[in-house]
Amino acid sequence: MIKLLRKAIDGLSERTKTGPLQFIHPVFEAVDAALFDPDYAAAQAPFIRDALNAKRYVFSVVIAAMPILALSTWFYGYKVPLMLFLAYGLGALVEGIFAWSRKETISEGFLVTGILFVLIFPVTTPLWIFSIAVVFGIIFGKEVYGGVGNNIFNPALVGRLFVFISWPAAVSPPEYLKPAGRLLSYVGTGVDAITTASPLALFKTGNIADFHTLFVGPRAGCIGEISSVLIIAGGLYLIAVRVVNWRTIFALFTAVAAAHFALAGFAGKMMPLSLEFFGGGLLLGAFFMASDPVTGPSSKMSKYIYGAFIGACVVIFRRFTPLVESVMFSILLANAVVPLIDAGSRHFRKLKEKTYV
Amino acid sequence: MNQSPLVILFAAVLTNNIVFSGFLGMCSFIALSKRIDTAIGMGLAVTFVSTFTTALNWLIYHYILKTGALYKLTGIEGLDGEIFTLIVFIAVIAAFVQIVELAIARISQSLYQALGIFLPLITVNCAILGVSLFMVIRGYGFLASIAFGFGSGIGWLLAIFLMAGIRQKLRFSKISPSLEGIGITMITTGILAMIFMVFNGMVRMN
Repeated sequence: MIKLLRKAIDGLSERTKTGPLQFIHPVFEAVDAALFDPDYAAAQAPFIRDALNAKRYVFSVVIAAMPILALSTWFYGYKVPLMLFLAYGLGALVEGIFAWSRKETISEGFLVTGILFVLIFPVTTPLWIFSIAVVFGIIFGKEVYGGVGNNIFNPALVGRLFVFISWPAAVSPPEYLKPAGRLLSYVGTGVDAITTASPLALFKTGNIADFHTLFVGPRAGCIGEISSVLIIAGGLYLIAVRVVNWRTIFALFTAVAAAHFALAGFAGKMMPLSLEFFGGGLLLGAFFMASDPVTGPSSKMSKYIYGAFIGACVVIFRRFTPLVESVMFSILLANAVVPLIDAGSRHFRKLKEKTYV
Repeated sequence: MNQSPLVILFAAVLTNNIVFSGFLGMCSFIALSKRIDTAIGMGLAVTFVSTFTTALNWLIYHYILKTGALYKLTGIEGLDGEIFTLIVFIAVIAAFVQIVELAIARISQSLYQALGIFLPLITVNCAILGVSLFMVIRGYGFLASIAFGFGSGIGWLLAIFLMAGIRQKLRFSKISPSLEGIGITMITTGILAMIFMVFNGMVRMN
């Protein structure tokens, strides 16, 4: 069965390489690549120790995000998979146009970006705003820099940042839809539905959500923030298959705790540490966005610095700006600083080597 | 209006960053952000010039040019230097840049070569003139003006430092030929400007 399918796709792919149907060739290439790559094996040394390529990275992230999306679909209704299809459709379209103009094949990277887009928006976001975010993020966050693997900023966060500045109330509303089993209902913009503030916003008005809601869920917020446990499980899976490097995440969490206690010393009026960790997008940002190998730094030392930078920024921005949430800004700011961190640690290493000689 | 110089310093560096919120001084920002070391050199030169010209311009404006100041100084009625503000500011900046240029040529020949034509061009860097003019419009005191000039320079240094790092990394990216150089720098500046909006609520500067 699988061989038949493979033969069919290979045949179509071959046939469209030249001739009038040339322009749809990348589509077949993509299907072929997504299902069957890599189909070669090294016969001679050197062997690659672990065949971790972009494809495996992509599918690991998709697997890690699936339980979260499934739970969100249960609590928020079928608008969640609809948003996923929309993100994938628009992503494939934009990616396809650019791949076609560059005469390359479509890369599977947009599968990750698409899923991230769904995770970081509340379900009440109007679909047209969501679409603008997807298109803007993929064009200006990724394609202008040369496509997958060349981007400076996380494309999903660039798209969210753009619509966050343009329509703050739609992306980060004061009241989120209260999660409840509504698998078969469609949530529009949710104006008349039962709403509740996110834990961080609740804290600003002096209330603290109970720990069970924070940790297990369901918790009001963006689609991906429904349950901290599932995010942690997905993150641990990503670390276990070595898609995500633990150094960034370890440094990030340590820095959050350290900055929290350092600020509590003189700034007073801090939220409890459990809120800091489970109340906002920190876990989601840490496991799914800060750890992105493309926008992150390369050496071990700079990974620690990068993670610590994000963690410190999150705590500082949450305390000193009127924004309720700051993980998006912190990660993007850190992305901008990454080249300098890398250059700095290279410089430092050179100095150290010199002193040994 | 009466804000502490420290608040003005912080705001000028981050909240009202001269590049990311004012989009001033873009020509040298784009031209000299290809390498980190030239970027730092230029940033330091701009910081130095903007700090001292703002202080000088404050003194000149408040003791000579301002309406009524010449009367106080000379005792002659009907003299008003206010309309010469722009010209005098430009002249002060130009003279000061000449001095800096001589100094850099003496101290570091390599930096002098790297900065090339852009060092004299600080004269027409709109960021520097902009800082002096903003200082007049917003009615800062002397200390506040120095903080503002210094902060704006540091903000410009920070911006070009970030951009130089990003552009060094971008050398390995497959950017389409039509966007290489200025195009991708402008797009990245736009994204950085959006990111810097996070500092908006931290302090308020008039």
